[in-house]
Amino acid sequence: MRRFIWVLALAGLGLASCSKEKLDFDMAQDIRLSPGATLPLVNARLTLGDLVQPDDSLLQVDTSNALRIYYREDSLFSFGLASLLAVPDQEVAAFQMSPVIPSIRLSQQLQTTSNAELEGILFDSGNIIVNLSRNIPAAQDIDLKLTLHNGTQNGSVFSSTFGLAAGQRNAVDTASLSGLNIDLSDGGTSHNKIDLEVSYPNAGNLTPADSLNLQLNFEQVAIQEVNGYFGKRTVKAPNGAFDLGVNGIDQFADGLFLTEPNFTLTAHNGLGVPFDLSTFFTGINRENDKVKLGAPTFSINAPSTAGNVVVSNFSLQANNSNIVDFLANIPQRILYSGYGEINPRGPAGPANFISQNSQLWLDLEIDLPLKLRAENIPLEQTISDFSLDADNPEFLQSAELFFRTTNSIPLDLNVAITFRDSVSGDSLTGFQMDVMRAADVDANGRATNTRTTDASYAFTGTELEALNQSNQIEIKAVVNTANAGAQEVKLYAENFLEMRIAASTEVNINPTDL
Amino acid sequence: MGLLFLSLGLSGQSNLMLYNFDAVPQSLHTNPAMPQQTKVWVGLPVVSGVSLFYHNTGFSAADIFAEGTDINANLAEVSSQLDDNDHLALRQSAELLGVGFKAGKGYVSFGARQIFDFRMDLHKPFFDLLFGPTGNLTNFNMAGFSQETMIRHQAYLGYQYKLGPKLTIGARAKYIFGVGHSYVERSALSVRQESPFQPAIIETDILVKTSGNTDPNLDNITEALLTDNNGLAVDLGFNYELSDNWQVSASFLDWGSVEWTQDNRQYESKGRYEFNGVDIDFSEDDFQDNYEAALDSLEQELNIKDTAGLAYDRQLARQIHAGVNWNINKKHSLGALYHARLWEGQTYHDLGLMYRAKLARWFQLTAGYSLINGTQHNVGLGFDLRLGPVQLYALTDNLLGALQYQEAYTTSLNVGLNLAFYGPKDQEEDEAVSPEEKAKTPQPVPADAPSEGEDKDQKTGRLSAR
Repeated sequence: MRRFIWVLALAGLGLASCSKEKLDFDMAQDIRLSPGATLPLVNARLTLGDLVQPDDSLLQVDTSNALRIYYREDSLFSFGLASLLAVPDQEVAAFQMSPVIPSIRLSQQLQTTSNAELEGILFDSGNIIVNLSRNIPAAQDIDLKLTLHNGTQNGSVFSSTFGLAAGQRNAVDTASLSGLNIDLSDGGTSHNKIDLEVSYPNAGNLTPADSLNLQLNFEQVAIQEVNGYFGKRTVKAPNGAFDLGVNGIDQFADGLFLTEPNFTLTAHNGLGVPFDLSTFFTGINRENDKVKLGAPTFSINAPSTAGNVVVSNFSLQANNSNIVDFLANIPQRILYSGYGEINPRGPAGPANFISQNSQLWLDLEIDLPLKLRAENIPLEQTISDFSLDADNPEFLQSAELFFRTTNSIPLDLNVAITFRDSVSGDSLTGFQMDVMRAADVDANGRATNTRTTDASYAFTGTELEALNQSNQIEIKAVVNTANAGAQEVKLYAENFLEMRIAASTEVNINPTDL
Repeated sequence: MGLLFLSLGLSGQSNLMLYNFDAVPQSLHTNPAMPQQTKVWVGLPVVSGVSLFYHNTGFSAADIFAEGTDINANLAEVSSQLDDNDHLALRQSAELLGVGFKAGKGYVSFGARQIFDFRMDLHKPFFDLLFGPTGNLTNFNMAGFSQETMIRHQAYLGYQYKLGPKLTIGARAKYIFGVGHSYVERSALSVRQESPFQPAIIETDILVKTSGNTDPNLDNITEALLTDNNGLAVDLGFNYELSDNWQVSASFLDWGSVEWTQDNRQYESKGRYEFNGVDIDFSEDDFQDNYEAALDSLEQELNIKDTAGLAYDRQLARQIHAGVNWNINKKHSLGALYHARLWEGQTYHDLGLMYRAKLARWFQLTAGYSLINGTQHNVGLGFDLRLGPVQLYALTDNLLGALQYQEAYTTSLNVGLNLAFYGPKDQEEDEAVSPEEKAKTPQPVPADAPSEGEDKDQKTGRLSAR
C-alpha cells in the first residue's frame, strides 16, 4: 500500500512537471482590438434656395427663381450746409468812438470758412458781442446804438443799443443774430458786405472826455439760409464700410466672374451747388485681398430752385470701372470713401444756395444676378488639432473613403485633401478627386439635369502611417463651371447638391485606453 | 474582456468524480440518494467543501498567453477557431456549514453553501469583431449571446430513505438567498448595410436584468447574507441495486428558481435605426448640433432605457446525473456516469468512466476518464484520507488540467476537511482489508455499531469502506 502511494505521488509529480507552457500575463497590455466597420458618415445637402434667409438676406430669389445678390444702402454719403459753409467767430469792427464824432458808418466784410462770396445770409442763431472799454472809469452813463443798414430782423432794420455805466471802465453787451437777414450784395454789386453804423443817441450830454473803445464780434453763428458763390473746392465725405458676405459664397476667394452685375450710385441733390463726386470703393475678400472698384467721377447737377431735389443715376459698368475684377475678388467687405468738388466749373451759372435742411446724399444699389463663370474658385479649410490617436500611432489599420454626389448645380468640384505635420508644415500624405461634375445647362445657363458622381479613395499602408502621424488636415477645393470655367451658368434656387460620405475602416484600439 | 480574464481563477461544477465517491459526504450534493459510508459527519466551516470548476470550450490560457508569442495573433487564431457552441462556465462554491447523520432507515443532512456561477457564450461574431482579421461591425449580429452571473447563499435540508432492500430515494430542499444576479434575457443586436451608400440599419432587442447591491453593507453581515432575493429549489435522486454487483442511480439537481426583488435594474433597447450619416444642411452654420441630433435620434429610435427593474423569477441552471456501477469485488468497482447541464435552452453533456478502489481503511482512491462537453482527455483522480475522525479529500475531473492549468480547457477541484464518524467494521470489510493494512491504520475508527438490520440496509451493494 505504501509503495502504491509513493508511486502515485511520483506519477503526480511527473505529470506536474510535464512540458508546461510558460504564461506571460503581461502580454495583456499588448492586446489590440481591431474592429472594422463600413458606415455612412455624412449625408449632406445643399439647396441653393435654402441659402436665402427670410429676413435681411443679401441673397434673393427673383420671380424666375433665379438667385441674385442684392444690396442697397441709402445715404451712403451725404453733404449738407455744415459740410460746405460756415461763418466763423470773427471781429466785425473795432474803433474808438468820441462824442466829437457822434456817428460812424462802416462797410465791413463777412468772413466765411471757405472764402465764399455770399450775396445773402439768414442767420439761424448767433450773437453780436459788443465790447466797450475806457482807460478810466466813465464819468457818466455812455450809450451807443448799432445799426445794420443792410440787415433786417423781424421786418425792421436791425438796431441795438448798449452802453457803459458811470464809474465803469469796461462793459460787454450782446445782441442776438437769430432771424437776422443781411443783403450782403449791396444791391447786387458786391458780396459779403456788412453796412453798419454806431452812434451816440445822447451825444449832447457828453463831453470829449466820454470817448471809449468799441469792438464788434460775431460769435456762434449758425446759418439758416445762404446764397452766393461758395467757391470751387473739394469737400470730403466721411469714410465707411459695409459687409457684402453671402452665406456659401463667402467661402470663395476669387475666380467668380459675374457676367451681369449692376452697381448703381444714385445722387439726390437738394443743395443749390453743382458737384463732381469722386467715390472710392475697395473690396476685401476672405483672403484679405483688396481690389479697387475704380469708379469714375460723376457730375451732379444742382437744382435751380430751393426746395427741389435733382436725382442723378450712375451705373458702373465694365467699360467705366474695374467692376469685373472687383466682383471676381468676391468682396466680403467693402470700404468706401469719397469727396465732392463743388462748383467744378467755377462761378459760371446760377448762384449757389443752401439752406439749413437741404442735403445731397448718395444711395448705393448692388444687384448681382448669379449668372456667372467660375474659374478655379478656391475653397480652403484647415482642420487643426486633428489626431486619430496620439497615443497609438497604429490606430488606423485600413481606411477607404467613399463619396457619392448627386447635384443639379452646374459646377465642377475637385477636392484635394492633404494631411500635414503642423509643426514642420510638411505634407505627409493626401489625395485629390473629382467629387462633383457640373450639371448640363440650357442656353440661359439653367441646369437641365442632375449628375451623380461616385469616387473613392483607399489609403495605402504607407499613407496610413503618414495619416496616423498627421495632426492637421488641409482641404482645398476648386470650383469651375464646365469647360474649365468657360461655360456661363446661372444659379437658381432649385439647384441642389447631395453628398454622401462613407468610410470603411479598421482601427487598432488599446483596450487600456478605453 | 477584463471580467473574462479576471474570472479565470474561479471554477465550478462538473463533479463527475465526486458523484460515485460515496466515501465523501459532499457526494450528497450530486445525488441526495447517494448511500453514505459515514454515520455522522460534520463539515468544518468553509473548509469542509471548496469546489472550483472551470470550463472553457474555446481556448486555454496558453492559447492566448503562451510566452514568446504574439497575443494578438493568438486572439485572432482563437477567434477563428470558435464556433456557435463555445462558452465559458465558472463555478465556485464553499460549504459554510454541513452536517449529516444516519437516522433509522434514513439519512439526514443539512447545511449551507455559498455559490458563485458565471456562464457566458464565447460569441464568435463578437470575438471576430474585436480580434479577427475580418471582424467588421457592418453586418454584425449579436443575436444568441447569453450571459448569466449568479451569487447566492443557500441553506439546505436533505433526507434519503431506503424504501426496500434495493431502492434508496433522496431529496433535498434548498432555500436560497440571492446576493447578486445578472443575465442577458435578449441580446439581439444587429448592424446591416448593403453598400457604403446604403443606410446602416441597427436593430436591437436587448434586455439585461440585474439584481443585487454592488456595494453591500458589510457592516451588517446578516443583511448582506440573508437578502430579500429568495427562492426554493429541490434536488431529487435515487439509487437502485440491480444485483449485488450492479447499481443504477440518477439525480435531478437545482429544480427551482429565485425571485429577484432587491436593487433590480433593467437595461433595455428595442428599436430600429437607419443611419445615413450625420445629416448636414450646408445652409446652416452649426453642424455640431446635427451630430448631437444623430446621437439623440439613435437613442430615441433604439429606445435605450436604464430603469429600475421589476421583480423577476429566474430558474437555476438544472443538472441531471445518471450512473451505473459495477462492483468487481469488495475492493474495486467501475462506474459510468452521464451528466447534463441545462442552461438557456441548451444541454451540455458530460460522460465519464470511473474506477474506485479501497486501498486501505484509511485511504480510498478514485480515478476516471471523462468527456466534458466535448473536451477530451480529462483524466480525473481523487482520494479520501482518514486521519482518525478527520477526513481529508480532494478530487478533480481533470488532473492534468489542475496541474497544467496553462493548457486546460476544463478542470475542477473539490477539496475539504470533514469530521467523519463510521459504524463498527463488519465482516465484509474485514474480508476486504488485509491484516497488515488494518495494523497500519493510523487510528482506529470509533465503534458505534448500529443495529444489524439498519447496518445491512445501509451498506448493501455499494462498496463500503467503513
